[in-house]
Amino acid sequence: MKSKTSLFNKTIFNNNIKRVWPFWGLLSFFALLPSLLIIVESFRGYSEISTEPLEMKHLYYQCATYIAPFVAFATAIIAAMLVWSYLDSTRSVGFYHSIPISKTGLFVTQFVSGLTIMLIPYAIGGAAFILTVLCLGGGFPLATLVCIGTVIADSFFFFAFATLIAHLTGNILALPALYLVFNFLFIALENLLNFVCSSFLFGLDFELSDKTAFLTPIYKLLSDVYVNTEYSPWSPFSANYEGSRLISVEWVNYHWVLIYAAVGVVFAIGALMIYKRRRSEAAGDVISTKCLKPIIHAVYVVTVTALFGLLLYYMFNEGIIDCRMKIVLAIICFGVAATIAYYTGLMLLEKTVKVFNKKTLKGLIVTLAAVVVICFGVKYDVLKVERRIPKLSDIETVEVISQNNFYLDGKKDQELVQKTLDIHKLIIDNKRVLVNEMYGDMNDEYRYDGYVSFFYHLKDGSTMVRRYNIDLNKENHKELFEQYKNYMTDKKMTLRVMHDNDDYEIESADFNINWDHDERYPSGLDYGWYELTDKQIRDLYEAVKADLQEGSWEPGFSDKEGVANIYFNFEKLMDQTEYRSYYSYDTLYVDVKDNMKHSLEAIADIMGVSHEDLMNDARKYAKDMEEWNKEHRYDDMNVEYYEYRD
Amino acid sequence: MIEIKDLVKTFDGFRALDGTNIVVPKGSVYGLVGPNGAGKSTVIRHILGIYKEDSGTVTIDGTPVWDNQSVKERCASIPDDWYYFPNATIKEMMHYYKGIYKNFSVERYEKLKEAFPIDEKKMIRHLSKGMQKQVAFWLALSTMPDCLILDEPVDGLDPVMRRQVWSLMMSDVSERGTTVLVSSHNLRELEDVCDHVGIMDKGKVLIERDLNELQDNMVKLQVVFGTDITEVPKDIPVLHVSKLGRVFTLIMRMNAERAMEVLKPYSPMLVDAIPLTLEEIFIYELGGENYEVKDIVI
Repeated sequence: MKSKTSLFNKTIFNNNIKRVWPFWGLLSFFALLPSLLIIVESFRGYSEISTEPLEMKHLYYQCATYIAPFVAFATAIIAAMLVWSYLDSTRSVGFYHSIPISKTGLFVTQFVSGLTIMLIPYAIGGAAFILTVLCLGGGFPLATLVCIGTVIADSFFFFAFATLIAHLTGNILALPALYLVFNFLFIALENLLNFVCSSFLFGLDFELSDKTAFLTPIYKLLSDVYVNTEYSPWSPFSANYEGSRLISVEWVNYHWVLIYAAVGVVFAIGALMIYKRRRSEAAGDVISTKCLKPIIHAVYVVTVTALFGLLLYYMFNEGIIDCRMKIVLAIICFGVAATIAYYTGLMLLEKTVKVFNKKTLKGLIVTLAAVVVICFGVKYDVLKVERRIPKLSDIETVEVISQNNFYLDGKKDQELVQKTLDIHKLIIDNKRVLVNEMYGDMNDEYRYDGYVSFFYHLKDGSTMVRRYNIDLNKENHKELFEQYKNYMTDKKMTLRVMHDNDDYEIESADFNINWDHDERYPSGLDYGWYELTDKQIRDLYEAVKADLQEGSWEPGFSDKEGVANIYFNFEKLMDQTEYRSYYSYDTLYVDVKDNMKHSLEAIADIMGVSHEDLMNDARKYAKDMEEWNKEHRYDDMNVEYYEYRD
Repeated sequence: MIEIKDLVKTFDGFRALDGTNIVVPKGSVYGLVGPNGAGKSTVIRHILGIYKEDSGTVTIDGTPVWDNQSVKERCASIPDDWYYFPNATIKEMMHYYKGIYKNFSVERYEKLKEAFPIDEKKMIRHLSKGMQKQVAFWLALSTMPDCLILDEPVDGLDPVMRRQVWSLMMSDVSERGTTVLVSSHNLRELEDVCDHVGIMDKGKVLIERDLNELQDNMVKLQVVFGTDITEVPKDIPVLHVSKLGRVFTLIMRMNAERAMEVLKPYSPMLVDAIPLTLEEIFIYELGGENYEVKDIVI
């Protein structure tokens, strides 16, 4: 058969499909299994599938949301390897490029072939499923078309992605590796760089982030696109039967499927442009396009240097406190990692181990210079990341996370937010003291160990997070300690710890007492924890609040031994859609001391013992513990003290 | 007509073709010869549209070859390492060629079965190297090409099949005016079939001529001078001299008549002109380009 248009050749297409039949044949078999299962189950008399329109809609949406992206992600690379593998051998590329078809025509034909290979199993499995459903009395809802469209869109995007990678490389083994790397590169780099920064910058804390998730399509599609369902109670047969019925299905964030499909078009056009410029002699090269080699090399060097450099740094930094030594160590570790990354990158790109020459030495010197500049840049905080504190006017809300958490509103709590900014600045100004104290004597009786995290939710939608270890010798740094304590025990602030005046509601609470109690106390408790009624919870909460108002409870700052523990669990309705409610949860921990009269009285009431008995027991326990602690101090522990020097 | 003008191709800084110029007249059989690494295969890959020229032009009948479907439809090739699909039979490969080449003739394919007695249901990869080469010829000739580009075409074929293949090609040239460019190291065979020859070295074509003209332009003389002349006089322009007893063998870049005239002043006792083979021309031409047989004894 002759092709009438030079943009598509039927013979090449048919040959491509025919050659790889085992691949799509196997997938088609798996795609047929659900239909076969439904048919078999129907014959046995109990069908697993409901043909209710809403249930069908739910099923198709689930398929589009959770199966299509995953299958497309996995099969795209195999299909790409099957149709583009000819680019990786001199012999086959010579054949394909000498046959009478334009490069555009060959590209389109191969692209359509690859996409068809991916879609055949869907077509076979999908057709069988639709027919089965129709036979069982089900319909053909619009969701079927939505599902088909999503399958095509996802397959198109991931195949275009794999095709782009296939044209960037000329090596069949590099193709799947690069496909995986490019799929997860940005989110991995984001977290890796976060981790590096959090290792060296005061106040920066590592936590997994996904700001670049949109550049990791499979992650974005599987995490942000989802199906919302709502069920209502349903008892059609008897009042004793408690069932539920689906009443609504919503497909959320499906616009990402369309966005990625559009990006797929850009990728496909990009791949075609590379293909038209690509030299056949690049077959076998890890990177086929010359101008991309420096970029790929740079990305490789940055990634490997960060990863391997950090590994070396953590291996050798044990016991090094002096900051000057630390920076020397960092330069050595990252320098070694950069050198290895630089040369291994060149070896991979040039397909030879003979990469050591004057020309590459210049590149290495530039790379090492960059490492030194970055290390010093980080040490001296050139970008002022450590000192950055948001402006009061930019803040929407603040979360302060310490032993207990509190939340401030940028508008309503301006005074408290300003206090928070002041204490944050104080911490930064005292970096030298706090870093020194981190390596101080752990057995110091005047020592305060704690931490504080500030989450600033800004009006531009971003969040700035800082975390500090507040390890202080209360005697040596009295003023700083007092300032910090004053902030943390500020009455208005501590009321916020108890979620006073905000939208959090107490959802539950429980408590225990620390000493072994006798028959005067009620038994039958779950591991020493008491279950409380709503009234008891409210009474206990008010009692703790009264202690707080009287100053007998200073969260996290009392030197006295705790005699009981209380946990209040709060919840707050954050968002409510027609189908779903989103809550934020918080827990308040109260370490009850023997001087917290109101709290202990409330506990005595709950347990049905006299106030006097409980107070006596509590005081006795506190005294015993204090004596025991004195006897068991590790006085022989000798911790070397280092002076922090810039 | 295949025409290559000032073709330059560089691979990672190495200039594989350095301003190559080739003209293959329509209906001729052009032999492209040269030492290993001269750039012959690179030239062929340009003519087939596999490589894109860095500079210069490659045209067939005045039309550029690169990414040109209509030109490629008229060309068939047999590369040194012919590609076929790993699980394809001859018949399946025939269907593939049929779908790709507009002029593919099933009738010719059937006729050529007699020349190539191979079971067409056999998988190509199960055939010997020589048989795979026969299949390549079978399919290439069935596309009814106007241009046939061959790289070491008879490598691996037995003597009978070699003769058979050359005969088929020559009949194509005479009956259909097919233009053939063939690269080979088998100069004796080329001498029998080529009417034009180009000698390549270091990415350039050193000589390109009609074979008869080339042979006329170089002569081998056996000369016996008088007893007073023991060495070849310095004013006689020779490419190569050897001496056995009193008989000198001279290679001169001129025709026999002119060589006789040049020798006349020295009154040689005996002069005998012998035509040079292509192999000798190749050796003596490249000798001038510092590519000669070295008298090395190990």
